[in-house]
Amino acid sequence: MTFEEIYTTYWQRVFRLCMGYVNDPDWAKDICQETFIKVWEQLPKFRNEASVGTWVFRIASNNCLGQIEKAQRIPKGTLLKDVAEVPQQSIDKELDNLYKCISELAETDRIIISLELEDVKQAEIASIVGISEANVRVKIHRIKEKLTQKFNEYAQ
Amino acid sequence: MNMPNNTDLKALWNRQASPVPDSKEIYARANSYKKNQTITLVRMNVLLILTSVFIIWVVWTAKPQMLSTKIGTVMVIMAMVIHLAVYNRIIPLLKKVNDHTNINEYLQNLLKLKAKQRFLQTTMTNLYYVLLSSGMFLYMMEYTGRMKSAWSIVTYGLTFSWIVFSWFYFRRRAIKKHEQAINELIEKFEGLEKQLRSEP
Repeated sequence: MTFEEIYTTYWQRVFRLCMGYVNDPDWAKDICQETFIKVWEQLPKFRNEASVGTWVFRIASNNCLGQIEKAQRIPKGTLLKDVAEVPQQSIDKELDNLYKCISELAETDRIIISLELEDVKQAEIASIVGISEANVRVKIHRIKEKLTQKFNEYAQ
Repeated sequence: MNMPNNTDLKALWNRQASPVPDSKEIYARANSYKKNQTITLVRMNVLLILTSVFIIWVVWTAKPQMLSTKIGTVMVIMAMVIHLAVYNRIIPLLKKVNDHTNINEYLQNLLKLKAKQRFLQTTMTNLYYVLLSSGMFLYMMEYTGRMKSAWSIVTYGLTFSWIVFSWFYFRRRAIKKHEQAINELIEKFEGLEKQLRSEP
């Protein structure tokens, strides 16, 4: 696959994963861009040990987790998240609620559920996260339970 | 509004659409990143070379007679080399964290890196201060020797007080600041690792 093909195939999917993690469109776009810069830089070294999708999602997930360090380097108040204080008026309240509920989960749970909703196979999620497939299955079940509870609370 | 079932949840998730930006944006940003990194690195090294050349020039023109002056000069230059080497080394070290491994390995690598970085910063900051202080002390010996004893005592007294002050204040503050930042990160990354290790 060429970079352009990877870019057009995975941009939306990576963007949604980043949105699931940070629940902020500008910030998510920023992480998404960083991810594709890395993909572009490392593509010549990619040896097909994993599928392209797994590889791209691994870079994206690690990039999301790496935001902790970036947030520490940038003084508070200058982060995109803080600048965009005005809540974006979305017409899709259900969708907003879904992202809000996901953003309240633990960091690694956010990634796992985002990958699941992105229709990534559980075996692939296990290889992205680095835990067993059985563990992924149970985790997804538990996360969905939590998500349902939160979603219903917001809906009331 | 009730929680949608699994299929609906996926359908809802997929409603999030964002226009795909032109891939040229990626190339432009990647190039500007590289350019910035190179500029920082070049600037730091030019600064180091210029300072060293200046010190060597001063020593050369002053023609010191004593060995202590020469040793002192070498130590001060070494202190600066170490100071910049730490900054120059940290950048490639950070790049070593392979970010296409799985999350679990990535976090473990990050933790190892942070521990290494913490050690490096503390040790190197100490070494920097030791070399700089002793270098200055040795360098001054020849020139204070030519002064009247009262002046040389005053000069040494002031220099010594400055060294003590910077050792207990600046050095401590620098180490504390680095450690605090790194420790906070280590704690957060350990928290993430724990999330994965916890029984589902």
